[in-house]
Amino acid sequence: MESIVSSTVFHVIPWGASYALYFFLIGMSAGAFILSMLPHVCPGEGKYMPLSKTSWVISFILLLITGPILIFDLTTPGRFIYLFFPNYWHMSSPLMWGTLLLMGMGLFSILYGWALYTQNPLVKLFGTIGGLFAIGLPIYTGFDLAVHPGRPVWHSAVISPLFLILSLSSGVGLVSLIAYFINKDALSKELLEGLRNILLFSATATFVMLLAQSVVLAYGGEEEHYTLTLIYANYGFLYWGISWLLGTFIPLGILLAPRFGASTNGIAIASALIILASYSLRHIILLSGQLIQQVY
Amino acid sequence: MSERSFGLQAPPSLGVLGKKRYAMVIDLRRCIGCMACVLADKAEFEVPLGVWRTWVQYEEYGTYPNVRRQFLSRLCNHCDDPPCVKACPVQATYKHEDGFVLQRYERCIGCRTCMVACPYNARHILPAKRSNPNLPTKVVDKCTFCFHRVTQGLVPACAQTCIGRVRIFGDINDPKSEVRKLIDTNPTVVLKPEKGTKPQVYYILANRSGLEPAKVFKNLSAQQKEDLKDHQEHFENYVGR
Repeated sequence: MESIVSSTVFHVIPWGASYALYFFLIGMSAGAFILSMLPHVCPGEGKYMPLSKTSWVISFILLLITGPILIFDLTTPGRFIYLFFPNYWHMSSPLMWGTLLLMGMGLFSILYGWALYTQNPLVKLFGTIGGLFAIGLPIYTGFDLAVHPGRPVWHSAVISPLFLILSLSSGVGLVSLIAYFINKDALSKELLEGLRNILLFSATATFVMLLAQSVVLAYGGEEEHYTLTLIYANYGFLYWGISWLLGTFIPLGILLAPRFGASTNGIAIASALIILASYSLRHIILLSGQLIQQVY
Repeated sequence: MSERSFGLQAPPSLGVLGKKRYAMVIDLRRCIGCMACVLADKAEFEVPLGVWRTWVQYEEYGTYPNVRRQFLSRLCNHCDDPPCVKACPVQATYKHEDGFVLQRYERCIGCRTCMVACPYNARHILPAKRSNPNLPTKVVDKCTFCFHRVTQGLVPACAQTCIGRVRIFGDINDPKSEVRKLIDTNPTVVLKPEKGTKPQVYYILANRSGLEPAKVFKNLSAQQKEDLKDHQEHFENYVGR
């Protein structure tokens, strides 16, 4: 039967692009921190030592940027202080988990940076604890979205591991890219091989999870199916062009190439593309989950 | 009864002896789409332009001359297991033991997580400027089932004003209440029961399939799509950023 919805009420998209930017930057910060602490915590990963300090600096700067983004996205920014008062804490909210993780990450990032630059033996302890916080951050940003059953796309067990992998790939990618521009000749063959392996693993994992998410959506209920149609219609270029082609297939092709894949140029190009996809995927996931509800 | 209960969420009281569980029945057989409920709500709470505590959607279906218009009144479902309460990081929203889901303006930080969590879009942000300076601004607001009236022995403003007696309010746990009798004697539906929220607004003769969000989105006219874009762009100015 033909029908027309003659009157409805429009609702705003509550979380705009600034949240996607926050997820992206905090993910890169966490990924860079993991790369920094790796040679100190894992005995067999000494090859990453030349990048340890650069990675920590990048991670810390990104961490400093993300706080204001979150605070000024609140409609009452002055009240962000409530998040630090235990009598306000509501532990069932993923935002509260995020606040605690951010505080922990901030504290242990400072301690780790201090130990790193003073060559204090505590660097291993602070690196390990900071690393756990760094792993927790992208996982919580995934939970921020995944715990809402009313939102198609978001309510999926894939989101948290996907954000963790994107965090690793974009963080390592950014460090590789900056190292390339600062002094690419200092990157040893062993180090390049290590970076390639991390990027290759994360790009493959991203591909698998993106595929799984898309297939499940396509076979989902009406809301899920229609959301996928909306993604194609509204974010076709970002989804197919940036996320799939430029950000997943081409980096995989580059990294799998026997010689070029482990070269400084190959890793730099793959890193730049992976970073691009890391943002575009978060942008698409965040906004597409809120499209349909604008009219409901 | 739900075993899931977190933080400030009073335990689900639906069907619990000795407990009140306020609910609303919306009998759409009687709705004429006059929007008096919307206006009553606007007047009761000085609800700003562009946002609603309650609203009425309508859909026309059929082929001329066999056409029909179907209404769907919407408001907060005051869920027995409200996801907005779980999602709030600072305990700004909570569930009262009688079933009301309420908002504490002085605690709200404006993170809009509760808006994201609500499957019914029943929450909105208040603008930076209000006609009455004593009213809250830039925090999340929602329908309260007129808590202030119910505690005085009155029914919510929307139910009071409804000329067709479409909206019936009462304690669903009381076997003598009108809401209980209506639910017991009529087939009713709730919105999005699959989300596990246990909504407490029951509809009689709701054309649910016609008002699913995906269908609404697909059937928007070109003008409605333009209006939708304008509405979103207006948001940043609206909250004073």
